[in-house]
Amino acid sequence: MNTNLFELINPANAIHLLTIVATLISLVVASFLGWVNVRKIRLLNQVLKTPIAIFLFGSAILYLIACVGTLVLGFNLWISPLLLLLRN
Amino acid sequence: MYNQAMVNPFAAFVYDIKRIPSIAFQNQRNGEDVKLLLRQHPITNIRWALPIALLAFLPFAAQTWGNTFLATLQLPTIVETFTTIEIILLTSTYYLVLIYIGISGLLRWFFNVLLLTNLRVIDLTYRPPFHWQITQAQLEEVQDVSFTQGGILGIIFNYGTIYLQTAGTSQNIMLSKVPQPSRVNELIVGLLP
Repeated sequence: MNTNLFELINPANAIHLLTIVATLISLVVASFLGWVNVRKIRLLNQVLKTPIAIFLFGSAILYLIACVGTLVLGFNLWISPLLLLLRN
Repeated sequence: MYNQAMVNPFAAFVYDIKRIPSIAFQNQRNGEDVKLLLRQHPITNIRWALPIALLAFLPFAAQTWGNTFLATLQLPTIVETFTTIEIILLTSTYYLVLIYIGISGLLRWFFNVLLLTNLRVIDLTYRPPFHWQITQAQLEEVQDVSFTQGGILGIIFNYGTIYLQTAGTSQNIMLSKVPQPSRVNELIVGLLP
């Protein structure tokens, strides 16, 4: 990466960098909240027994999978090249 | 559980002698039948559903008018710094956040329930993402039932707040934005011993 300080200070690059950081943080938070949702829905389904319990739980699982999948994609796209660069 | 005639799982006001025994909950005692189930009026979901519905169109609007807007700000290079895969990832993240807000709003409404059985009153409250609470009181402990109705939406959609004042150390029970509060008030008073 031949990025110098002036390129980073360039507003377009700075906004790009901030967007990447914000996206990764959002994905980590969303994944954590998705996991909390799964646990809570499991618990609440035991408290109030409804016929849509399985759908609620299924949607929470799907949401968690989507969050983790997007996080992995983001990690592969932005963090992995950075780590490779640091190793070399 | 739901072995008899099924109750609409999204119903906000269930008072049906034939169908109500199909509702079940944790720690239900033998011979304990649910007489009344209450949730907030479905129209209250509009406070999260409407913003989400509008925000869901934002990426499409940005795709249509975004470049023109950025050109007027003289910042067209910002979009050009993102690759296609990055834009897909940003859009996915945006929709995941919206979906989370939607799921939280729905769960908050769905698991905010007041159950009245022939033995007790149970109030289940869930505030995503972390807080949930169960308050219960024996029917003998309920001393007073009252309701308030106000606000233009409350009058238009006929919803209000139900208060159950309990004796002793039991916590008072309240559920806001309940549909048909005057009828609910009458039903609860009728079910008290």
